[in-house]
Amino acid sequence: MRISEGWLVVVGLAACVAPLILAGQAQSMDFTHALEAPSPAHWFGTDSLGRDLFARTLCGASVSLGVSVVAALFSVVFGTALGAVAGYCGGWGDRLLMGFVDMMLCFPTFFLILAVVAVVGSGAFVIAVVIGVTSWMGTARLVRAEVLSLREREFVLASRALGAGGGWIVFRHLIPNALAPVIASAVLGVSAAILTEGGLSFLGVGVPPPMPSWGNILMEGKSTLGVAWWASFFPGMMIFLTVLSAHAIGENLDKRLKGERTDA
Amino acid sequence: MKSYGWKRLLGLVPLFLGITILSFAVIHLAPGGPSDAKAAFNPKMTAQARDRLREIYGLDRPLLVQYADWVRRLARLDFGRSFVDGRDVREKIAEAIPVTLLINALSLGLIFLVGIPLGVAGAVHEGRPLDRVITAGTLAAFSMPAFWLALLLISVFGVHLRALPVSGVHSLAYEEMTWAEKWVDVARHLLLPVLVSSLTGLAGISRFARGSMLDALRQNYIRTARAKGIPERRVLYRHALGNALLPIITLMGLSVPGLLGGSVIFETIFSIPGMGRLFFNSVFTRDYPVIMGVLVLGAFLTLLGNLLADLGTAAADPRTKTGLLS
Repeated sequence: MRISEGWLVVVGLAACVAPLILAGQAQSMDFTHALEAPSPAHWFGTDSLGRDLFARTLCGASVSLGVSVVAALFSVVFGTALGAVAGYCGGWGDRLLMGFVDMMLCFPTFFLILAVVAVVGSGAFVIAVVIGVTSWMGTARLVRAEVLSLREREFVLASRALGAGGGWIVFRHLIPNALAPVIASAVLGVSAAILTEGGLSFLGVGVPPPMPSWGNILMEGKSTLGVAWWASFFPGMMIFLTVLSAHAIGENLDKRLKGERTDA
Repeated sequence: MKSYGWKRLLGLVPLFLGITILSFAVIHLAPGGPSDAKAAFNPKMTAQARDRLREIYGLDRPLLVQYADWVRRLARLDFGRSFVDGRDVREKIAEAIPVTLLINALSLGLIFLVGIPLGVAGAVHEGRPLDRVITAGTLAAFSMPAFWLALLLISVFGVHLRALPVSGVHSLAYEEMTWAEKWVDVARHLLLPVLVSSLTGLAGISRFARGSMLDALRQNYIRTARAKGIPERRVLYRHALGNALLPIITLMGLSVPGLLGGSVIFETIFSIPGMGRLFFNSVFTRDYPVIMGVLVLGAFLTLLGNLLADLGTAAADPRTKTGLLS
């Protein structure tokens, strides 16, 4: 677990620092050094325009991670709010909201995202929002189940006896208490969002070039696959290792939280 | 059983209506509506021509009327005509769907034939080296970006070893082959796509099967069975496995949207003329009738998968029907 956390910290730091230092290098083209294999001068080699892939990959980290974190935030906020309201209100509203969740789950997510992108166009922020809006259903179900069991507890009754309204109870009492399992699912959500962003950018409908993201560096690397393996190997490796780390951490969190619950 | 099936079927009606409303809404989010998009791609389009287009597609009428009209045609399986080549959308989808379904069915088979035994083996050997290897391997496979894996496989098997074809579903000389050669040809073409499309699902199922089997092994009836002196093999594979497999049936239905969504990626990479690529191309050309048709059809296939999974669970476990299990 140590390794995965360490890796995420390193990538996170790179994502924060790289755009400040390497932004110029990531975009500067040098046709005399196009498609060079990894060397001490260019650690990850260069692409077909002679751009340094190490700089591009590190700058891509900030775009890919940024998009994924924003997407996960959207999905957590949206899912938590809807799940809590559905669980607290119960009855008719609950059935309607959960019906909406079931309906959203019927769409192959990738189809839905592509359809929205076809209509509103692509861009880093749009992609983040669209991924968030199509991935909140799991969180909503999780929070709803949590709230269903919490709302019968004495402290909610006590709060109501003191004159608290529905909004106060939901946002001050129920949601904070239901948040623990959401954290684990948020971490897993980030890793899923990295994969989705990568897939979209790889298909050319995600983050538009020349802004580098791991997905679109890969897409550009695809065209030189036969002669320059490094152009597609390194960005993919970054996606793989980062997603792997986030998964390991998320599952560990989840297991620990569940363990605490069965012990209590 | 029959009445349970009908009840489930009836429950799908509002869900299906919701699906059509959402698909319709997504497309009509477009500023200016679909006709503007078509016009934008055609420099010869005049204002009059655009108005005529709006009239033909009924885009000048109120949204509700348009929606009702669209659903009415949908009920007759009429998806309209493609904006790009004017062909019947139904025809285009019918051409694309068999290969997608074939690959998805093969992937589903591979996922269950390999994923479940892996997970069960892990659970049976919990904590031992075999379990650790399987757990680590499936975690890695689950985190693998499918598009990257596809590129690596193409690079190794297609470019460097030249051992496998990497695009399309059959060779150019397909027509002149005997049936045996045709089989081998298609199998060689489909090997990599099926492998790539099943990997994530395979890892997911195996992790789920491991957890489910571990849960089953912790039950009291397993202790009872062991106490009675039933051989361990029989305890594991008859008493525990049967119960561990029940939730996996549901998961099978749930894996349909993931597979369909994934088909966009691998069909594009391997140039397979299936539904995923059709959808992707129509997204690029803003071919709204095709987008809407595939979107609704994809959701419909998912519903069908869920329904079959529910019926399967009900057939395997009578408690679900009577509502004893909630």
